[in-house]
Amino acid sequence: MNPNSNETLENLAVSSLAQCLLRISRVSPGTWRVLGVKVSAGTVTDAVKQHDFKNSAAAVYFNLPDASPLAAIMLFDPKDMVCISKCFTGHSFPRGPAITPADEVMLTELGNIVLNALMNGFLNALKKCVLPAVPQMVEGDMRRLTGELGKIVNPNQGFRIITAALALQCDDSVAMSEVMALLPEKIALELELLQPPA
Amino acid sequence: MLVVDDSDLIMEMTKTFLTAMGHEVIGEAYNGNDAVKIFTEKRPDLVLLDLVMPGKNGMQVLQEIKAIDPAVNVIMITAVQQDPISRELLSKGAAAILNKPFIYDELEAVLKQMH
Repeated sequence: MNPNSNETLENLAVSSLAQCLLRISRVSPGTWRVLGVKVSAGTVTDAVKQHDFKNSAAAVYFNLPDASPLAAIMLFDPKDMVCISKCFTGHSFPRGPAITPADEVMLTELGNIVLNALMNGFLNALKKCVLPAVPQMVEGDMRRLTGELGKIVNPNQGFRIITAALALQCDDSVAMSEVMALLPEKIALELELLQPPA
Repeated sequence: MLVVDDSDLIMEMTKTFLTAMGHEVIGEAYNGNDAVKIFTEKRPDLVLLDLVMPGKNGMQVLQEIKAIDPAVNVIMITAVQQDPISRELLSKGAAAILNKPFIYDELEAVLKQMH
């Protein structure tokens, strides 16, 4: 991969996510920001491996069923649920041993908003439109997550993986999340041609 | 008013906002198929309609309910902000598009445009 090409994808991702997080920060009690973006290449398993599985993870994800299918994933640490719920809704959801139905509803909507912002940026740059599938959520270890994600994308397919680290803060509590776009190489190359780095 | 969204969070928030504004919510649907069914039965004058849902999506529901009642006002609620999709929604009769996440004042401003 050409480092300049990665810069183009990184810039698009940062721009789309920063606008979205600014809006979420305005309408929610939390402060949301992009810590950094990196680009790599690999399969959906390689993407999920980037998460630090100290605990299980919760993933919100959807695919965009195009001729070259794209996918987007947002990963959370379930231990951060009190902070995430406070940042997004203003209410601290009680922490149980596992993700509750209320947690799932909240994470799915949050993922829906953030992941669409990321993918809207790429698709608008390409002047393409693809209606995303309904977002889904799964909680578990890496094997469980990659198993579920393998149902919406070919687990053997190579992608350009754009990963953004997000931080959210409300009062003294801070949580992290990773947001990933899985772009087929063809689409990544089209984006590089459309928007050369300044 | 009919509210259609597959997210409990958005459904509850939207209903709370509408009630506080003095509007009556006469129906709620969590998927596109139920939305068309409830619309046919209750004939609300205004529909708040999610775009991405299980079953029929919001674009399909919009077309069906506009065919039933061309005068109905439909406000689309979505996180999908892709220019061609927004244009298509407006060309198919959506009165406005409200982007997620939205706040009370934004919903109120869009509703005021309808009157």
